[in-house]
Amino acid sequence: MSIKKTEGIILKKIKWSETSNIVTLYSKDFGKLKLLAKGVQRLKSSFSGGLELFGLIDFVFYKRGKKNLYILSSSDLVSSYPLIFSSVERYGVASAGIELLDKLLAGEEKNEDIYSLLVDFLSKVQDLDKKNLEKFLWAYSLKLLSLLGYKPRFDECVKCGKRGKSLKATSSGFLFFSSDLGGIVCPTCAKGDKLYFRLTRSQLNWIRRVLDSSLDRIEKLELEKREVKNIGDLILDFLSYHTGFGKELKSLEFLKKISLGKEES
Amino acid sequence: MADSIDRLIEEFNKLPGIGKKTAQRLAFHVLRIKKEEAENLAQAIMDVKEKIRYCSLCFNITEKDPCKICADKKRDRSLICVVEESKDVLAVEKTGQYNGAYHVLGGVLSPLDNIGPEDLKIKELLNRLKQKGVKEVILATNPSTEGEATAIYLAKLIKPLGIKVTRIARGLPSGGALEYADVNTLANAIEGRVEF
Ligand SMILES: [Zn+2]
Ligand SMILES: [Zn+2]
Repeated sequence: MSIKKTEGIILKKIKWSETSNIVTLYSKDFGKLKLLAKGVQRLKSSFSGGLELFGLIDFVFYKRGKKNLYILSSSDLVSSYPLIFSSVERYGVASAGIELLDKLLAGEEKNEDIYSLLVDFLSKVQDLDKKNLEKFLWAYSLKLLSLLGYKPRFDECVKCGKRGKSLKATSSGFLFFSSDLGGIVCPTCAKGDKLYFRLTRSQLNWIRRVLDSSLDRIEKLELEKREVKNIGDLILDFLSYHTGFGKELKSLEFLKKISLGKEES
Repeated sequence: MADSIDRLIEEFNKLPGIGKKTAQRLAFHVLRIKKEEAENLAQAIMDVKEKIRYCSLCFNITEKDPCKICADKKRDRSLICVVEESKDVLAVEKTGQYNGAYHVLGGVLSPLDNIGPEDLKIKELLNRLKQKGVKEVILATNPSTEGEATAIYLAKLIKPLGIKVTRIARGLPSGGALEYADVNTLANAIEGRVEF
């Protein structure tokens, strides 16, 4: 493979030796890449601006040998999204966003929509109103899942296909969601012994609007804190059913520690 | 292969930066050395575990509590240099340019490793600062994402106490680490620290 050039966001950095790191990037043109960066501790290295988490870099790389590892030959920092660090909550949410992406993506596969979602996510996390951070994280997760092809169905009952006006909620306003069936279930079909997630009309509408809007508009889509939490639980349940991980994402545990998502006291 | 050598290889393999090959080399090295050399090695490992503890003031590793630096009357206690790990204290001490006290956090804020504020010695730092006499806190966490984030977090907590907060200067390579910086670069970074 010849020398290639592209841009990407740093998702992970592991120390390889005293002077080299392995960086995992999500790149615009090649999807997820693992690159070996040598000489990172040197004062004048070929990686101008450094290779740090969340950093958006322009970079040049090539393949060496048959292994699935590339060599990073040089890079330039384009943006480090510095305002992510203005609060520990932002830092946690931004980390959860990249951890989720890293976990969900297995190998190299180009997807420019995911790339721009990630870039939008990191720039927006910087100046979002603090109270909207959790909502924003779940909106991003929903969009990411749908771009990756998991696409839980929120338009019709996954059992009977009822949709639109004929998809009715219970008298108390609930619909249901099943992670293993991969979508919403109407009250008639939900009768039985299965455990379903309860979902209100407003939650369902919010999810649908999120999937149709760009990340920029999420702040304007109002939803009560309690309902945001319920959607978060639903996403995590769906994730752990289909991917084997969810709640145990390290950054989510971190967010719980710093009480993001708890009722304000 | 004999069980005991397998076990030793396995133990070496668990050490940071030691791969399977190196672990084998080390294990066979141990096999060849004299008995008392092996005993010295084993004893040194046990001594570290049994004698070394954390200073109750600055959380640097020490055999005596408080540590040598905290106990030294000639050092300027109105100045506290906050670092990530004990090895960073060594790095700063090597410059010979710093005469204040330290505070070792025991890590950095890192959501991806689930390390939050209460996993670090932050509460202990704030308690130290609430006692009178500290005039300046130098934030000397590494110039990495996590180090920067931790410095910003600390600055926001410390400033309301009316204490001057400074950050070691740039000039250290971004993503670099204090422990690898050469003595002059690190001395300059401390000398050229800027108010947060
Ligand atoms: Zn149905
Ligand atoms: Zn001490």
